[in-house]
Amino acid sequence: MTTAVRKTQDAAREATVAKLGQIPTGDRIRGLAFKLLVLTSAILGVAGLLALIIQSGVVGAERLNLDLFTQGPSSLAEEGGFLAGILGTLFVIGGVLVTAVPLGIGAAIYLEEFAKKENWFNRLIELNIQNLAAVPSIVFGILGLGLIVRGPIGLGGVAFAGSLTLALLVLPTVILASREALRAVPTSIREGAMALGATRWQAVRHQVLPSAVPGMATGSILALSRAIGETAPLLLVGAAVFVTANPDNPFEGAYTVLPVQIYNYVARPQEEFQVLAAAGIIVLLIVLIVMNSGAIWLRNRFATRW
Amino acid sequence: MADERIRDQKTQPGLVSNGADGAPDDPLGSGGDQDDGKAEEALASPQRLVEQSRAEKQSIGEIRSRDVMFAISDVKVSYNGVAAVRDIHFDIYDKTITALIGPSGCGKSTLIRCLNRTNDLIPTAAVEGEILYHGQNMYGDEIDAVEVRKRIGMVFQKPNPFPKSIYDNIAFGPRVVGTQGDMDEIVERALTRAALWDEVKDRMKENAFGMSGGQQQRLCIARALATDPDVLLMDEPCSALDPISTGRIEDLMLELREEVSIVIVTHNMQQAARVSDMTAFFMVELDEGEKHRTGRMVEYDQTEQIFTNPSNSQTEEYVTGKVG
Repeated sequence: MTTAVRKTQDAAREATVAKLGQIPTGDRIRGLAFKLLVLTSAILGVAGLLALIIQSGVVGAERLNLDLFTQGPSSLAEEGGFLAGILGTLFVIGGVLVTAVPLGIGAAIYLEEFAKKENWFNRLIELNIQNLAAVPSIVFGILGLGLIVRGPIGLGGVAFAGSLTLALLVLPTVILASREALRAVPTSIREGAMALGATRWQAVRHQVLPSAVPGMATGSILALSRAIGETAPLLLVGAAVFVTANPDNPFEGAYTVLPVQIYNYVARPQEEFQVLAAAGIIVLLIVLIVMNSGAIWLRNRFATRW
Repeated sequence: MADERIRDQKTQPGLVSNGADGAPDDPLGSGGDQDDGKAEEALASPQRLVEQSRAEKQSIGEIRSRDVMFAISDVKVSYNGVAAVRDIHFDIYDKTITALIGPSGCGKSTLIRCLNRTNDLIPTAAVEGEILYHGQNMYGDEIDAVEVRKRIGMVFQKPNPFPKSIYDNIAFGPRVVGTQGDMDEIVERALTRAALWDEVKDRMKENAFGMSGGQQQRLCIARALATDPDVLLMDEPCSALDPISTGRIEDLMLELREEVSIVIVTHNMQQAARVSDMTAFFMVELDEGEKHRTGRMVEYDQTEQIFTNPSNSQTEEYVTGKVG
């Protein structure tokens, strides 16, 4: 190598090394600003929830005891508890579980595994499901009142009527989540099963569904926790703002649910009821957080990594 | 070499009488060498490739005297109305390894998927023309695609074990098909045929996803064999595997061809030369507007012929590495 060539190379190397130490100031500021911006979005999103938890915790702490779960409804704040609401919520959500989940999973299996996508009928169903997911919940309440409480089904204002109404409300969510879970199973699994001489149903039943179950369960739990928090449609289909006794079963008698009871207590002028409502909010939030964490745990624990 | 040939003849009594029909007994004079080939593959000429071939080659006359398994005539396959392959005519013979080679997009995978009606699973795919399987129209109205697939197994490009135990992977096929017999024995036999039994016999309950890629692919072959198919279709079965796993699967194919007919799609010409008896060469054609690429079959012949003395210049350019 000649000296001239070596000199040129050394110069080039020095120039490169010198540049390595310099980060352009403009880039650094822009990067920092963007990071702060997205961090603020994240904090603001959670801040509202955090404020609610803290505020309810501070206000409701004194009533957060076992009486809350064992006391029935009362017009005296000191004696009142959420037992009626908790029982009502269990009845209503139990009803949603046994109706919306199997129906939603069934619909998802049909649409994802069996329906021919180019068929106009299937496309119509698909379009409707997506639209249903965007319908305000109060509209489902009106539908429930006309169809389930009074109309052709005529169950009356019982807990199961509330279940059916909420089932309609969360059905699109269950369907969409279940379809997502089915879509996550690679086509190669279906082809592999069917290349062995399995029918489509056998392939779905034995190979696709087992892998999709964790995702379906996660989606269903999230849908149920949405149903637990719903208030407006239940007010329309008969969840009483104030009940005098605990409901016996889902098919007869007046009932109320946790959020409706909270709504009732909050609306009262006495300070004691505000405290009771705050304690109820904590209970509701704990239930929701437990359910949603359970859903996430299920997904992480049992989901197949393809 | 000589010992090997004698052994092969002993194990293949039906294939020895080649000389009788006037064809040369063994056109290349050798069954091939098991060990020294792989490292030199990249440099090998087509002739050298065929010499490396580990398959005991049969003469063309002998193969053509076998039963026709698939009679493919005037087949055209389209996706969304656009032809992927067209004008396909050829016969695939029973108890033969048939390789489909050609560049990407030439339609060889599309065609092999027609042979067990896997294309039916793609809603936009349409198959025209006629494919006879042992004389019966596979696409006839009275034919159930599920029944077709019970007899014609398939191994895919990417190993696709089910996310279950090794045992359950194998047992699924026999269960749905309703194979008679003791399931443990069926599973053991399938794994033995796929040369996997010794590696997995102590971990049958473990999830198949814990196996190496090569083991997974042999599991998929075992899974396909468990239902005792007449034909095994293999769509680029080694493209995701390392050379050692590839070699194992090629050995396996040569062992299996006594019992099962094999059709293999491969990008790897060396592989076609090593294992197949017959080779079909496909090429891509552009239409007038140069918008659509359609695959056509260019040449179909005995493998030696395709690699040493192809009658079509396109074939020659492809196998000698001038195009593709």
